[in-house]
Amino acid sequence: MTLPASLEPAPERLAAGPPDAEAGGRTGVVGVRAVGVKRAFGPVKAVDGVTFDAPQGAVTALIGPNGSGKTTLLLILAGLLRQDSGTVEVSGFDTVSQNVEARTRVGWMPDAFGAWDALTPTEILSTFGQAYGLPKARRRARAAELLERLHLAEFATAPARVLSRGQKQRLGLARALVHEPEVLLLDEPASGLDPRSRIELRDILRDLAQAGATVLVSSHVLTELEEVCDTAVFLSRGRTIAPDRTAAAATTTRGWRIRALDPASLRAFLDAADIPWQAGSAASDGEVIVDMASPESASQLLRAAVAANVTVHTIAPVSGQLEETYLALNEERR
Amino acid sequence: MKTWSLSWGGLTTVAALELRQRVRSSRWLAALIVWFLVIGGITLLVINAAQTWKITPSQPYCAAGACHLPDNVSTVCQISAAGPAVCAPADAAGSTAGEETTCSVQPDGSVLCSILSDFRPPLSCSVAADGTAACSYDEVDGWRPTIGPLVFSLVVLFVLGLGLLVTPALTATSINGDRHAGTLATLQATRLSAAEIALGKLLAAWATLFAFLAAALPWLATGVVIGGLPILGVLVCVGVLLLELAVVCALGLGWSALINRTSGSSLLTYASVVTLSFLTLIALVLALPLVSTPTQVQVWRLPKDVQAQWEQEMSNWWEANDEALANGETTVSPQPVAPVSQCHWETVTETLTHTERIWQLTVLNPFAIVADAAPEPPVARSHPNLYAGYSGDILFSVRHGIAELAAGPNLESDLCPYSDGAIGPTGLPEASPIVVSPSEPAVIWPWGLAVSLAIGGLFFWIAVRRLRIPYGALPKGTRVA
Repeated sequence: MTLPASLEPAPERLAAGPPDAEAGGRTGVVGVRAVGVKRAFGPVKAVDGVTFDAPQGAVTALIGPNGSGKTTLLLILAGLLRQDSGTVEVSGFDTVSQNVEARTRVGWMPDAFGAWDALTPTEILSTFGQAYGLPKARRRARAAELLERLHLAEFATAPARVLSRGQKQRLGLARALVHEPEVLLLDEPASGLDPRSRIELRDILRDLAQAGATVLVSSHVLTELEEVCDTAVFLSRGRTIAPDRTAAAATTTRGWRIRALDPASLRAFLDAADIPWQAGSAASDGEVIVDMASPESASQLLRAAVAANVTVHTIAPVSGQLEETYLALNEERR
Repeated sequence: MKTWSLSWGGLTTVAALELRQRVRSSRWLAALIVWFLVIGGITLLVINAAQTWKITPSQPYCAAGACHLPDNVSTVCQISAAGPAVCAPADAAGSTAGEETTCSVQPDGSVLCSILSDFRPPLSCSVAADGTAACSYDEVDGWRPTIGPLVFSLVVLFVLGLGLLVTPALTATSINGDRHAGTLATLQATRLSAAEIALGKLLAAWATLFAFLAAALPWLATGVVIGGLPILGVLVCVGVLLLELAVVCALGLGWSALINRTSGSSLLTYASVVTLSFLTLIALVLALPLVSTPTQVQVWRLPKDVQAQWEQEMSNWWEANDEALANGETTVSPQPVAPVSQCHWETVTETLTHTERIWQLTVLNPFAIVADAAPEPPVARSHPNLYAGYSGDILFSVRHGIAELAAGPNLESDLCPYSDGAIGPTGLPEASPIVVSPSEPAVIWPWGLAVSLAIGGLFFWIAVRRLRIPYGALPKGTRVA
């Protein structure tokens, strides 16, 4: 399977075998396929050329900075918004011409989940079960099951207004799962979750993918996505980044974080030595990131810096591959 | 089209969701109790006021040697303790025009008088041998004056009036409010169609109005029972009232789908209600000068010179007899009789207000529509003047007024100076050549209701269109989620 605009799945996950057709989507169909999707709001081109496939049985990360069109793209995939051009298929159904078929196969979790504050989580879930046409007994069982799974059972009969932000976020996930969707679209699902809930979210997403579902997660918390995603789609200014560019970005020299007690002298040193650098993600600490081919280069740089009286206290490789790719792609912004 | 597909399951999902939230989140029980008490309080105050001030439908009363009508002016019986009791109707001026009294002595020695009038319900007065008297109204076509129609009218008007105030609050923010709360898009993303979401919300709001109607029902029933109103007519009237409120629900729904801000949609919904309820009336009044035009009218009258001559004779007669009449003398020369046989048709141009050209404005008014659909006892048809004067039926008066607007001005009038003054059943002199066809007054409420439902349908259609996904062009300032 070719995966344009996405990274190759990690080898150990490929070893898990093809997705179980019975548990999730149908065989022979790509979970989500977007081709040349564009959508403008007046003069603003929110989505301006998105092409990617999200395979069944895998977690696909949708990565991009704020305003890159992630939320708009998810609205189009959920069948709520019509693209100006291009086509979107969800589980093999066109989101425009087969809107109902497509959207009933999708579980969409928006970034801001509005709950009906007066209703209990059980009522909210069974209302959505009813809205998806589940029979009464089934939706009751499903509500109980999901509340248990997402550790909300103790709030099952309390009004939703007493839930904390993280608990509401979990309820939002349960809501998106109530009809056992073949395709799950999650918009920033981890925001507001505590570390333990994030780990549980990761496990849930992995389990769903294992069972054959197509999971598409948008986030800018990159380290967290790295642990869960099989492939990634990068969005920048409403466009998917061309696959050769992401591939190139992923295989370039590694970035190293360098921090010094006096960031100004570090930057002056680098500039004087004509070494290219960019501000790191913790730029307020004066962190810089320098691309280096090998640990030997790093060691050399460190020695030279110390010799030049730069008070370096930290030098370490940039941790995640996603973050590196992300930064490599965002270089053009500056 | 999937947008318009409807299923029972989808409708009940949305309606149940809306109702459950409404029951949980607002003080609906308190509101219903306040509603019940307000309507009940008004009903009781009206009954009390009617009894205290002898407002029309209350019974005549006898005291201090005379029986009086509740208007406190007309005396129907003077009871003389000396001789046999005699009943003779008299108004304040002592006139007995148009009334007919027959008295008979009963086997027990009491006197029973029956007093007929074109303008009052017939009365029976009985005077016992000891001089104590009692009067009561007789039935006309199964009707006798009671407070029932007044109570019924008031409760219907209050339920409609307060309903028009309450209803916008139920739907005017239901779509844009949900959009702001972030709960609309997740619902749209489900299997539910746009029509199911819109109709579910509409039905939930309508069901809430049924609760308000139910709370007013005891008072409504009070009026129906006291007045003996026809049940079928009552059901039609209440049904029309509920449909009119459903139209307001649809108006609110449409505005809440059209306007992004909840304050804007509330304002426009209330403005729509005010437009239908009041601005139609104001427009009607302002349009009156526009339809006041010179019109050719047929007048049945004496030729001008004959008229002038007769007027001169009358004037001479008054001059000659003025003093004698003032002294109460009854032996005066006979009044000159007008030569009415010379009356003929004349065509005259008069400026008349052609209300029949603009009365259709009332068809938009919910009050007019409900009033027109109000139950009508048979007497309202057989003796409309009597019923209008003595029933206190406000809804009937409204309908009567609309019928007169619709009929427009009379294009024939009778100015012939008849001397005997006998009045025919149509209110015209018996000798008049004008034929008033006893046509049934037009029934306008089906038309008004149809127009209302068309407006409501339009706004409902707008709401569904604006809920249709996937969204194409989004209105300015609107977010999907």
